[in-house]
Formats: sequence, structure tokens, C-alpha cells
Amino acid sequence: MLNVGIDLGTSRSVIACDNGIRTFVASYVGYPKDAISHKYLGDNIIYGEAALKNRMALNIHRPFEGGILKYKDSSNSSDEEYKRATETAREILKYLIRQLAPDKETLPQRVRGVIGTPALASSSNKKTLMKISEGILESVMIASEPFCVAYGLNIFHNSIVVDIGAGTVDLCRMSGTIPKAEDQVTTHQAGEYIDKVFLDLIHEKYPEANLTVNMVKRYKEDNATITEMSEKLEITLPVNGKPTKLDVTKEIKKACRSIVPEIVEGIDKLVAGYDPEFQDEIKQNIILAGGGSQMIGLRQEIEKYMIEHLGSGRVTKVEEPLYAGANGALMLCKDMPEEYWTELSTSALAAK
Amino acid sequence: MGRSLEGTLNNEDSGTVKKIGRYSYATLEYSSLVALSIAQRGGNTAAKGTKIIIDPFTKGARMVMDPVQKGGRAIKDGAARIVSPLKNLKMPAKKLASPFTWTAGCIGSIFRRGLPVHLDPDTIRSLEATLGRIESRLARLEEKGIYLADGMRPPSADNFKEKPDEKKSLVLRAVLEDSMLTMAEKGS
Repeated sequence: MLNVGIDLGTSRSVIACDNGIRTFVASYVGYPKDAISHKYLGDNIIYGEAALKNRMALNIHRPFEGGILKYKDSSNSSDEEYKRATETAREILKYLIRQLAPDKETLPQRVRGVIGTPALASSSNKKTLMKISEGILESVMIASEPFCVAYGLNIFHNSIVVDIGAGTVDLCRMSGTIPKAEDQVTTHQAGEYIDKVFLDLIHEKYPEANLTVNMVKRYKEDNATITEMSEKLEITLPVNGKPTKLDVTKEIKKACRSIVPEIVEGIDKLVAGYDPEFQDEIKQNIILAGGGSQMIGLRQEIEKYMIEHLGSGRVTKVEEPLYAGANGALMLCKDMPEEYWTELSTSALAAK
Repeated sequence: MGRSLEGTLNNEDSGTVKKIGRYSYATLEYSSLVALSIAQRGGNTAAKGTKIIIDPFTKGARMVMDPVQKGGRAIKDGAARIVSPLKNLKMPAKKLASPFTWTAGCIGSIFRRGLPVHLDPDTIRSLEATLGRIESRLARLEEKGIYLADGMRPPSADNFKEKPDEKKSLVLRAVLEDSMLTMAEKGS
């Protein structure tokens, strides 16, 4: 039996398995547009970066974009949209699980896992995520993503985990118990918001430059920084068809900083609702995780902002921001006693 | 180990036994390297893998001679010592390899010294065949990885699991209950 921890993210989906395999895929699924593209690509479905590279020949889907499956009420989306998102999410999950098999083409026979869910996820969203895994995982449990991070780090007391993803920033207060709704805050100014702000700032400064949000995203992933000490940052973009180097140092810093106030506001909300006796302690234990936390200088920027607005603050960053959620979910999965899994299976049968 | 045995070997037999000794030594060294490599990859796979590697070896080794049997047991002990610390993955790789290194060194020295043993040519041939099979099995293991034979049961994950403490148990129970509640809800 393989145990896995899964973090299905808006931008990247990550899996960690107890056989030592850890991997991720960009959360894109592409279907060939016609017979020619099918012949050219040689497959019915293309995943991740490969799908993005060949997007001209594919119908691209991002199942977790906009939170249809993860945190939005599904009744607000059309049936077709919801169905398509569910199908593509299943494809991503299958792809991840296949990476665990020796030949990478068949699904390993017995796999059970824990899937991370956003702090905002409703019961209906959670149920959708569980349903996605039917027929792929033998048994599945769900747990809040920031809680998975905290569990992986063995932090249960007086701390706040800030999981910065592409679609949302999930904040979770750890107070020695399983976090409840009031212990969690989700903000929507995350990685994609930075991309949008950065794109707008470049357009404003260089109106003649041609660029897409994907170009901006790739550049940001390699160069995101807030620190004042960084070197000059230039991006090469086509201007009237000619590749031109453009200075975007100020723009990228401004874009990256744009998420900080809302994160600190979320921290403030969680601190304010905590036992006054431990408020100072909790402010000293802010833990950053998620792909977005890899921005250079973000930790210091949040600390600075906290000191200015909350009086004090100490922020640390997890060692492997991208894998922290999946690692924690894997630990949960492995630590779960066998009798709990049996209980879950019995309950699943009863529910059917 | 140093017991005197009936008779001594003639030159031809002695050469073959030395060859077997070199084979055993090489096989041990090889199996220890394979086990170490798997152990370094960590987790239950290593524990299972080590057990599977050890089994054929001990079967073969039993047939060689008394000192080799002792070596086999030492390896088994070594494997047991590997399995338990793997849970925490705290033991450095060198330490993991030490039982194998010790056994290999021990057997090597016995054969270098030319311990007097009495073995008829048929036994020697059968030993050579057994060692040949071990060699090819190890080569196959290295090439294909480790799979359990049909009907063979892997050790239960619970054998390697530490019971969570009370605090963690409560947390895990809450995760389970949340999942069960979600599953039981109608709709979606």
C-alpha cells in the first residue's frame, strides 16, 4: 500500500509518496484541437508545462482556476464548466499517481492518500475533491492545506501558517486543536494577483511592449524579489516585433509587495481573535509556505509591515515551500492508524 | 569457527573452495551494496527489500559451511538492526552498512587463511551452482527492482509505525471525523 500526500494547487499540483517519489505538475490539461494537432502531439491529453508550450494546438483547461472545485459554490458555475473542471482535475490526479508507478503509464494498484483543501473550502468543495479521487485512490481523507503544512512541521501551538499559493493565500491559526472556521482566513491576493499587477505596471510603463500573462508569470517565478539590494532586473519583450530589454526592477518589486498588506491584515485578524495572553507569542511564530513564499525578501517585508502595524512580528519560511503541503499531508496519511482507515472504508460503504 | 574438521583439502579442492570464498565475499559485498543503496532510498521498501535480499543469501550460505552460516546470521541480525532505525532514518549510511562489512571481512579472512574443510566435489559443484543462482538473482534485483512474489505478503505498515501520542491521536481522529462527515453529506 502506497501512502501519498497531495496538494492540488491552482498553479501546480504536488504529490509526495512514501516510496520516496515527490513530484509536481503545472495544473494544466490540454486536449488536441483537431486531428492534425493530435497527430503532431501524439496523445489525447497533454499535461503541465508541455500543454502550456503547445497551447496553440490545444484546448487548455485549468481545473483549479477560479476555485470552482476548491472554494467556490459550484451552483454558481454552469454544469458543463463544473463537469469539465472535475474531469480535468481527475486527469491531473491520475497523472500524478502514475508518476509513482515504475513504468509511469499504469496506475499503481493500491494507493491511499490525504488531499489538502483550501481553508475556504465548503463541505461541497471537500466532497468534490474526495469524489475526484474515486477509482484512483483506494481511500482518501481531506485536511486543510495550511494545517497539513503545520502538521508536517509538527507545529500545533501558538503559530500561524501562511500558505501563499497562486489563487489564494490561506492563513491558519494553530492553537493546539484542529483548526475551525474561525481559525482560518483566506485572501485572494496571491500569485496570480501579483502577475496581474505586474502586467498592468509593465503596460503602463511600456505601452508599446507585447506580452502575455504567461510571459510575466515565468519571469516573476525566476526573478520575484522585494529586497532593495537586488540588481537591476530586465525583461526581454517584443516591441514592434523586435526583442527589447526593458527595465522592470521597480515594477516587479511593487507587484510582489502588493500582497503584503492583505496578508498582514489576515494575520492581524487571527491574532486579535486569540487569547490575549498568547498574542505576543503567536506574532513571533508566523510561518510562510507555498510557492509564493519563495519571493526574495517577502519574509522581511511581512516582518517589517507587522512591526509597523501590529507592533511586533517574526516570520520564518519553511525549507521546501513547494512541497511543504504535500509533505505534511503524506505525514498525516502515514501516521493515521490502520483502524482509522478501516473506519473510513466502512463509513464510505455505508454512505454508498 | 576455528574447529578442526575431518581431513584437509587437496590442491584442486582448495582452489575451488578459495574461489567459492571469493564468490561468497563478492556476493556478500554486492548484496550489502544493493541493500545499502535501497536502504538509502529509505522507508518501508528498504525494510522489505533487505529481507528479500537476505533470504536467498541465507539459504545459499547455509550450504557453504559453518562460518558462512554464522555470517548469514550476522547479516540477518544486521538487517534487523537496519529495519528498526529506518523508521526514524536517523542512522547514518555507514552504520547501516557495518554489519555487512563486518561479515564480508570475516568470511574473506577465513578463506584467505585456507581453513581446513572436507567437501566432496559434488557438494562443491552444487555450492557453485547455488552461488551462481544468487549472483544472477542479485543482478536481476538490481536491474528490475524488488517485487514480491504472488501470494507473498508484505510486512504490514503497522509493523513499522510508531503509535501516535495522545495529542496526535486526537488530531488524526479529528481529520478522520471531518472526512467521514464530508463523505456522509448528501449532494454535490
